[in-house]
Amino acid sequence: MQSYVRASSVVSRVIAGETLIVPVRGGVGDLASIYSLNPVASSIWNAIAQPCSQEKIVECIAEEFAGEAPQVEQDVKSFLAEMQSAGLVETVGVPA
Amino acid sequence: MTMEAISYGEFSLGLHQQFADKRAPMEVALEVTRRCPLECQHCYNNLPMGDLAARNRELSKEEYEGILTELADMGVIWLLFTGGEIFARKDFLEIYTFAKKKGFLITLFTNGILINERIADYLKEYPPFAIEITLYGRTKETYETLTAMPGSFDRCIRGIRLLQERGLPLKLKTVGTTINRHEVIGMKEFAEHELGVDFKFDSQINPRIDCSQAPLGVRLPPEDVVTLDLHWSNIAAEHKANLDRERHAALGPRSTVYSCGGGLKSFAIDPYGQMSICVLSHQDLYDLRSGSVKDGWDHFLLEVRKRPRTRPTKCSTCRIRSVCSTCAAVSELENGNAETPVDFMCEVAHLRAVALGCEVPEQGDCECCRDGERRNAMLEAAARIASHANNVAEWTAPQTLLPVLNSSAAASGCGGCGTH
Repeated sequence: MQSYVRASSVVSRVIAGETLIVPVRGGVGDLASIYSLNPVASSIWNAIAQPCSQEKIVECIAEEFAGEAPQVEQDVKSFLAEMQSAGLVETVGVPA
Repeated sequence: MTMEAISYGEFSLGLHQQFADKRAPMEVALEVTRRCPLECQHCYNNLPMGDLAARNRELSKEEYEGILTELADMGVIWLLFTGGEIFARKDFLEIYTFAKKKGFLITLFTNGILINERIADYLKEYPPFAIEITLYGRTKETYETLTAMPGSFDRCIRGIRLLQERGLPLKLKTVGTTINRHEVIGMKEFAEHELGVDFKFDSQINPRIDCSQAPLGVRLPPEDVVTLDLHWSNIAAEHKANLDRERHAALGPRSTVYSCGGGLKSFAIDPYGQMSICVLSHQDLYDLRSGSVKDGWDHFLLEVRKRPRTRPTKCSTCRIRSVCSTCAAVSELENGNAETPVDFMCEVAHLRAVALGCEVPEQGDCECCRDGERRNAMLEAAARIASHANNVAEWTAPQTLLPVLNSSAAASGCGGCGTH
């Protein structure tokens, strides 16, 4: 099963209650930018501190934020795709 | 859910606004060594590369790891690595990488002469937020007169090229001195037009932190400082805007000795683990080998920052502070007392204001104000500046470009202040 995990080339910090992602290595993200996560995105970021499947992430977010599963699934999917294209998230394992 | 990529400018502005009324450590300057291969006379803290006693006193890599961990836990965002020359430390990249992995936004100050392909490649892999190289001249002759190190100009240019070839976020800067003042325009053109990078200059030179006055031997006179400043219309406009804003602001007398961000948003740590308000301030030091960074910030620096002024001076009600480069730390270095006005800076500020056509409200006991002994000379100099009689573009090299050596004399300190 495919899981998502934070890229090893970035580091996150919580400053003034906000989660910020800072690229550590060259070629990751946009060095002139800081990535800021809102509370839901921060929860996903916390969930993928260790490899975590999309299904598990959806389950956690739907429970924590009392969302409808289909909508949460759609949001999680697009968020992970966005993070992946910026090089902030990596996948491990093979897609189901 | 969203992930927002915020530009650095937005991020910085937002954070500063959020912490505007709070005392919080956001920026820290870490001097990792004072050793440097160059022997520039204008430098306020350099020590010879072979100063074994200095090297042995420097914080170890492990001590830096402990400090950096604390700084990250305290919420510090911006980190400046400075020296001396940062790459004079063989383990600098290890300390730097540890800091990178803690998520700091890191700026490096370097003279560039020790940067080789290995270091440049490494920085490409782990890029800093910014790298600022100080250029001491546009020609080899001028550069090496100031640095007193043969071959240093070519090595600096090589370092600049290596970083630029790798697309690293490079900026150049210089310090205007009597040795290189005629090449400041050339250095700016080299940076901005040939390399396409930002350039800034500053003519502020202070006595050394060990009390030696040697740097003042190459300090530009006030008229040259201001002539150089106002040569560029954007700098002149910035000074003018600051003066206009200050004239309309309701400024009360300053009640505390320190009125900058030191101890409020920022602080410095020297190579030996002494924590202070800033890199220039060395009268109030907290030893991190005997206590934590958090204790130093929460208690020691708080008390330093709150220290009230003990007496009124001509600076107390000054209305041209926005164009004056003085501060408590500069007063410490120049006069040995954080509250004593620095007459040199006072004259520079008056020249800036008068040459820009701004009215300067009279201060008590000020040598540049009415009846002051420097008043007439200052007004004559301001008139020359305003009429462009002293044209920067026509400045030439000093008549004798003999190497300016400072090593033993400058590093010797005063021997009389009780700390050196």
